[in-house]
Amino acid sequence: MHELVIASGIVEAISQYARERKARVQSFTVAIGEIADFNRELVEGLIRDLVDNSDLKGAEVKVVVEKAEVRCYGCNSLWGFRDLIEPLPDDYREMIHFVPELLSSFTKCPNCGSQDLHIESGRSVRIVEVKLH
Amino acid sequence: MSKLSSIRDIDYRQLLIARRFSNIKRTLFVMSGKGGVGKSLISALTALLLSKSGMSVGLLDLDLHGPSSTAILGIRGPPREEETGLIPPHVAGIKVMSVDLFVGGRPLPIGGFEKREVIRELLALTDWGSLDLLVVDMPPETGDVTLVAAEAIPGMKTALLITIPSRLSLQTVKRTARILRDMKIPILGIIENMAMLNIGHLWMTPFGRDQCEKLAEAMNIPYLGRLPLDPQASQAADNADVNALLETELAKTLKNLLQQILHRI
Repeated sequence: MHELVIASGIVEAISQYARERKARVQSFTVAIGEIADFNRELVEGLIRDLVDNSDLKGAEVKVVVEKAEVRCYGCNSLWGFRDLIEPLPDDYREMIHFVPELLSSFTKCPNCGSQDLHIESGRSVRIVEVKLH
Repeated sequence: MSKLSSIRDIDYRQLLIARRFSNIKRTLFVMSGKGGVGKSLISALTALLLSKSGMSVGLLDLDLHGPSSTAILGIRGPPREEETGLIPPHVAGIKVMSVDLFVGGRPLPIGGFEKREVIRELLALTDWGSLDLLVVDMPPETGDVTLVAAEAIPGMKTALLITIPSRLSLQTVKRTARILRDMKIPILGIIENMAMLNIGHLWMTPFGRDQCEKLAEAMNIPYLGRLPLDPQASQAADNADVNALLETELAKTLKNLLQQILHRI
């Protein structure tokens, strides 16, 4: 449900960024990280609706999914969404959905059992590219 | 001609944080630098007392490794999710946010970079509404959390220092004061906790009387006074009994000390 806040923050931040540079946005790309497990269609739809009603209207919107990569500093293993997040109960996944770093509270390295887990990729929603003209 | 912008410049959470804090008049960091001085209890009591005096108050617990506000106030999570963000639960008139509302007593073994991300996320997503004051219970450190809180929280920030009458604690508080000065965060005063003991209806100061006052004077920080070592307050906190906590000698004394800085918060 808080997807709307995030979508509005993204659109407003890009709009402000372009305004400060006295430029117009040609296109921008938003990555949706697997770890926060947002509904891609929902986030994309909200961003497109907000863009159409803002000074970004006409900008090309690209949304990509960013694969989860979580490094265990205990044994140097690299894990993905299916290894660490998918097996968790829904209530744990919901907490990670709010704040991805909380995964260290709810899961361990499947190889060595360490909770020294670090997100290398696919954290949450982020702006990865903005093209101005 | 098109150009690729630097994405490091665009963290939409900073915009959300600015939007949230445009409705928060002031932020008060409660800090000690050292653990075990009663900072969380004083943070919670400060929020409760100021709320009872008519202010709209929030309490943000940024002690990510040892959050205790939820235990002191008897609240459990998770926070309610709304379109506007995460709604902090209310207790006795104050709104409270803590990682413990999410992890429910589990440890949170994370390092510096992750702490910064957690704090930015909490600041961006928490919908405090309008507040007169946000009290921030800071962790016993002057590292990542202190730096990111000072950098990310916009608007008027002030700090209250808590110590106990011991040389070790005072040394740490001195370092904390220096960092706050470097960050240009005004220090409203220093409170000496666990400094008095009631023995046979007499208030004694068995740990010495003037160490903290001398430090405050040397550093040009207002010395606000002493708080008692109060077993009833400790018991009320253990039982998460907010009403009992507000009736303790600790609460009554703190209320008097806070009068000195009310005009600045």
